[in-house]
Parts: sequence; C-alpha cells; structure tokens
Amino acid sequence: MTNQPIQFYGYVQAGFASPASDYAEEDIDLAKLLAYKPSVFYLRARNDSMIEAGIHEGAILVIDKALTPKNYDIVIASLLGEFTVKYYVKDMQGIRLLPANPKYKPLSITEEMAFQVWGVVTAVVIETRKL
Amino acid sequence: MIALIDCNNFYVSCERVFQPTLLGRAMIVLSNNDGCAIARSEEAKALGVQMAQPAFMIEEVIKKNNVAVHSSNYTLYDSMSKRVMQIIKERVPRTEVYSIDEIFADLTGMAYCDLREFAKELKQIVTSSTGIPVSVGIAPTKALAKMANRYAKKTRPDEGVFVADSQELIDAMLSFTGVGDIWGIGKQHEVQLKQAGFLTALDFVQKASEEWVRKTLTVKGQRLYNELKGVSCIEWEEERPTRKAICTSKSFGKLITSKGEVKQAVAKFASACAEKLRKEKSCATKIEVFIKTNPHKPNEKQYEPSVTLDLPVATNLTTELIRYAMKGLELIFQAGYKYQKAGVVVKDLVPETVIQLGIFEEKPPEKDKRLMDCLDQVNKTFGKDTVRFGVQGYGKAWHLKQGNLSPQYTTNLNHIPKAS
Repeated sequence: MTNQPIQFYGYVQAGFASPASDYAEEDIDLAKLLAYKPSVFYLRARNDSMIEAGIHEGAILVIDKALTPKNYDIVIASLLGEFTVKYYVKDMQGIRLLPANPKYKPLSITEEMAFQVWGVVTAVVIETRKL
Repeated sequence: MIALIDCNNFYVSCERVFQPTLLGRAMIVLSNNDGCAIARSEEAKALGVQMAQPAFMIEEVIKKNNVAVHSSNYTLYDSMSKRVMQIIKERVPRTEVYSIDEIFADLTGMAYCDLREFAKELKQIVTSSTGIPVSVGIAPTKALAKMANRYAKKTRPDEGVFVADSQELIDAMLSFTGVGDIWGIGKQHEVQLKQAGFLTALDFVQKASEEWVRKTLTVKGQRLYNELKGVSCIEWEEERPTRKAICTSKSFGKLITSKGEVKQAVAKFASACAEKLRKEKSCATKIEVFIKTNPHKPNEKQYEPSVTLDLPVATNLTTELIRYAMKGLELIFQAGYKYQKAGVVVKDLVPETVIQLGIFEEKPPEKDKRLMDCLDQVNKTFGKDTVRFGVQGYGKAWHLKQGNLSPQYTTNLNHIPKAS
C-alpha cells in the first residue's frame, strides 16, 4: 500500500463559483446598438430648426447612409453644398424638406437645386450635463 | 471566379463625401508635404493633370480652372477604406485587401449566383453605404480581374462593372489592353514587349512563347502570362506577412540647417518607427538614418548621406531606436547644408517572440518593456505624442506642410460635419 502511485484527477477550484456564471450576458453597448455598421456616420446639429423633433443645437446625429428614406424620416440632405437636417416628404408635389420649428420655412426641392439625400438619421444623442 | 473591387479616384471621393460642393468640380489631392498630385477627379484628368505631377508645374492649370486642391488626409482615407472593405468582406467568402482602395474577392462557391447581378448589387451597396463609388471587375484569375476592372472603368464608366466569363469577352478585354497597362508590367518590360512585337495583352498571351516570357520577364512574368491565359498562379494572402521594413520619413516644411532641429526630427521618426513596430509585434535588427538636401535646388550644395547600423539585439524599444538613430545621425550630419528631408528606416524585422539574443547581450530589461507599454497606453488614451522623449522636441520647424487639410470627419468628434 505504501508505494501506490498518486493518481492525478485534475484541479479543484478554491472558493465558490459565482451562482450567476451560467446566466452571464454581455452588457448593453449603445454604440453597438446604434452605430455598429460601416455605413454609420455622425454629424452635429448646427441650429434649432428640428427642435420639436428633439434635436437641440449641438446634438450628435447618428446617420445610416445605407438607408433609403421613407416619408417623414428625418434625413441629412446635401442642398446647395451644405448639409441640412429635416423631415423628408416625397409626394405628388415632389420632394419637400420640413423643419420641426415654426421659425423655419419648409423647402420645396426644384430640379436645378444641387440636392441629394445623404443619409437617414436613426438616433440623436443630446448631452444633458456639460462636463 | 475572382473579383477586384477598386474605389474610383479614392482620395478625391473620400473628400467629396463630406464636402458636396466638390462634386462635379475639378479636384486633386496632393502627396505628403503638398508635393505632387496623387489623386485626380475625372474633371482634373480631363484638364490634363498627370499622376504624380509636381504641384508647382500645374499651378497655372489650377488657377485658370479653379481646381480644388486638397492636402492628403490619410486619417480620413484609412477610415473610409476600412468601411468599404468591411462591407465587401461581409458579403463574400474570402477576400484579400490589396491596397487602401482595392480588394480581391474570391467568388469560388458562388457559382450559382448571377455574377453580373452580384457585382451590380455590391457596387450599389458600397456606394450607398459610404458614398464611395467603386468599379468591379470579375474574371477567372487575379490578373484578369485586375484587367477587367480597368476595362470596366474605361469602357463602361456609368455601369462600372465588367464580368469576363467567356473566352470571347476575355479576348476582347485583352486586345483592348496595351502591354504597358498589364498589371505588374513596368516601363522597362513594356519596351521589351513592344520591341518583340507584342502591342496588346492579346498579342502577348497568343504570340509569346512561355520560354521567351520566362527568359525575358523572369518567373514573375511567366506567372503573369499564365494568369492572363486563365490559369490561377497568384496565391491568396489571407494576412499580410510581416513587413520587411518600416520607413518614417518626411520632408521638412522648410529647409533646415540647425543640427538640433534635424536631431528632433530624426528622434521623432525613430520613435514613430518604434511605435509601429510594437503595434505589429515585431522588432528591428537594423536601423538606417538618412538626411538629404533639396535636389530641385541645383544652386545649393547637395548632400544626401545615409548610414545603416546593426542593432546588437533586435528591438522595438523607443529608447534604443532613438539612441541608435542619434548615433547614425552623428556619423552623417555635416553642418553647412540646407536639409530638406530626413528619415529613419527600421529593417530586417523579426517577430517579437523570436528575438535572438547576442551571446554577450543581456535580455532587454523587463522594466523597459513596461515603460513602453505604459507610453503606448498613455498616448493612445490622451492623444499622439502626449508623452514623448525629450529629444523629439516641441519645435515645429520641420513639420509637414499641409496647406489645405480637410477635417477628420469620421475619427474626431470635434471634426464631425455640421448640418443646419
């Protein structure tokens, strides 16, 4: 009995296993939810023309360039060389860009305007407390 | 079948995504230090601006035609390139990024797809997702795919797609392509081919014998010849192999005479090399330092020395590389010249894990490695060059000339475009 080789059965872990380890999932990652695509870009709102849609001046706009706009989507359009953020409407009258602020006027797009929908706004990030 | 997807006028296209006023306007992007044109819009090509043409030679054309001139914004181009590549990688089984604006896609196993439809869809999704226009060439081999891409651009600029899936179509493309426009045929070989009577790629594959090709163009040329005959010989590279050398070199913003300023620049380049090495997990066994005067000023005294030093132990430590770069500079620096450019090249790279210790060398101290990790971490968190070695200096004299650099629209929150 004295010369019996010692059998090795493996490791025993000290301490207690977390009772939650079987239930662990990844934490929510907003960047993944909102912007985890190569077609996503950010722009910043320059003024309050979309204030009633919750877009404050300085808000960060999350834009998916791959999406095709549907009516009343908020879009980024390039218009006469500038970026603009507005509601997009296309109907019998043609394409219109609508602000969400009575101070600003709706815009009807005519053919001679250099106009292009650049992307669709999919989320807005507003800082509520400045650092 | 193999596809080559190539971004059209890539640097120009990147700038245009964020500056719609540039659409339709003649435009060029200049190389580092605003030296010469390295990307041209179609409008600029039509004005006769050549690739790599020095900026001072085209000043008149630029002024007369109101050509938009941009400095190169590699941070932006890299970001846009990654986006384009990712979209393509998600849609095909195997890819190989060939350059910042080109990617090969292996379509083997997609035999049941309508390749024309697939190519059109791919082109459409890349362009709508990123704003970057691309062309797609599809053919049985890499060399033919490359040619198909060029053929698409030249003969079908609106569609931007060409699928060479029959011998008839391949031959049409081969006869369209001059021997000088074959992928990998340089100026010297172009002359040899023309002298031998081969004017088009079709002449080359139909009339040249394989033996003649090997003798004249070496084994590389033979491989190309077979590729053009439809036999795949160029291997796929999944991952880029470790680079053989890393070079950091820039022209100074102005001519420099002071040794102190040259020292600062060289130290900075050595430090940049070290950082790149650590990022790639490799070490250098040799370091070369060079400085040069401006060859375009023939009235000034010319001097362009370089020196290569062996590093006793392969290293990627900033401290070591700066030390040896300074040693090298001591050996070659001469006062009395006006220096225009300097550079550091780290060579004969080996993976970090297989460092050969010299018999009399000690193991690089763990302390240094920890210092480097800490340095990289701080600079990653707080921005490039937050912590640096004293000798790199804070002077700006030798900094890059970038007269019209666009913002870093996609990588810096303070630079994102604004919408009103």
